[in-house]
Amino acid sequence: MSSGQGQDRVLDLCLRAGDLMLKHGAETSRVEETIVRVGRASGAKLVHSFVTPTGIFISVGTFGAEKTGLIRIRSTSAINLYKVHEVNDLSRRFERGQLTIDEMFDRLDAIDQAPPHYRIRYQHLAAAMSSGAFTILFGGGWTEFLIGSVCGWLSNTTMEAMHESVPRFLRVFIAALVGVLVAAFSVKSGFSGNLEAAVIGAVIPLVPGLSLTNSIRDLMAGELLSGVARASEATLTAFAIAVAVALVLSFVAVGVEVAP
Amino acid sequence: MTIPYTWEQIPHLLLLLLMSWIATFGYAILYHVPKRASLWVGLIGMGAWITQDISMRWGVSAVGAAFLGGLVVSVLSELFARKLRMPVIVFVVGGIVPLVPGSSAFRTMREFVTGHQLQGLAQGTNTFLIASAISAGLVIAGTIMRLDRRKRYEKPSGDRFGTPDGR
Repeated sequence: MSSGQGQDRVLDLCLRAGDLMLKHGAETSRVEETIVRVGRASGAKLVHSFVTPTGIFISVGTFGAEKTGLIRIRSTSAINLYKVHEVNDLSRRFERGQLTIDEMFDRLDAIDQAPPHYRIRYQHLAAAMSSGAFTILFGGGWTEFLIGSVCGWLSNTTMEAMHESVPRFLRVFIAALVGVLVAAFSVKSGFSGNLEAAVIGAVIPLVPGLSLTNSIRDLMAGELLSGVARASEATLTAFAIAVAVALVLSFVAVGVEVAP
Repeated sequence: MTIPYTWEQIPHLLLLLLMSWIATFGYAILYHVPKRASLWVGLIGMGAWITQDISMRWGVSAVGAAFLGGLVVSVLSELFARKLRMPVIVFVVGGIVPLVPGSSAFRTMREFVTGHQLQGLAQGTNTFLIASAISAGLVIAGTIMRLDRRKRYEKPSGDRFGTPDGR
């Protein structure tokens, strides 16, 4: 930690670990905590981190000689909690002195380039099964299970298929529109009688569970900025889904009023 | 306090329990929850759902039931997170999904679309309250569970004016 170059490497390491965690969906309080842990473990006397959902600012060094760095996070669509767990685990092992700085860089690269934790076909299967199971929880039968599975799979696939340059809320809106449209048509054509269950199943893969959880945990930790930012993300996503449902109901399914 | 199910309802209850497990498990896979944790995440969702169901059958309001469900999710998640040494969000993300006020939200939209503004507002308020109750449950249980951890992680970092402990 005495040379300026060593200081640069510590700064790089902290930024890299933080970037990886935040990009894959960690809450900001945990990212700050990890950055401080990594910086301290690599011998920096002074570590300050300020993390928001869209950027990381840190300064690392000794008293009087500190380096500051920042990273802008542009997309958090590649949510992968497995990688969050791995980086978190790595930082704890680094803190216990089980890894050197060079090893840390190698491991972080490995985590970054690792293939998806679940194969893509299992992801599709999971989306379908989850949506189907929800239709039954919300009072549907096996017909709704089938419709819900197909529509949930469809909305999840639509969401994944769209390019990241499309704004997130628009993607959610279009995906929900596709899923709910198919669900409503299948009810209208008399295939099933429970519109409510089918529609809920269709939008389940789009529900903003992570934004909601992160916002609550950030607010709990006193991170007001990120907490409020994430809460509004969750609200806007929920609104995108609601508007899609309302649109389909008003155009397609007005005639299929089910009993209240 | 009696068991709020009759014998005839038990098979259907078991089916619903299985479904809440599958639903949570599937949703967790969409977020790439670590494989070692995924089975337990399903269990948390199941616990949340049965808590909500039993309390509603005991006459608790939908909002109160969502609050209790949130409490259960938070407590179980903190316990599993410590046992498996993983971040708590891994467990909470899946666990809260069975509590999502889906039918209430759907009815809100249906009322608005069919021109019943007032009923729509009432349902919308209900949806909002349920969502807030889930958050409240998570926050309260989470804060209590983390009381002993706080101290360890708030070691102050040395501050730039040279005072060693930042004070």
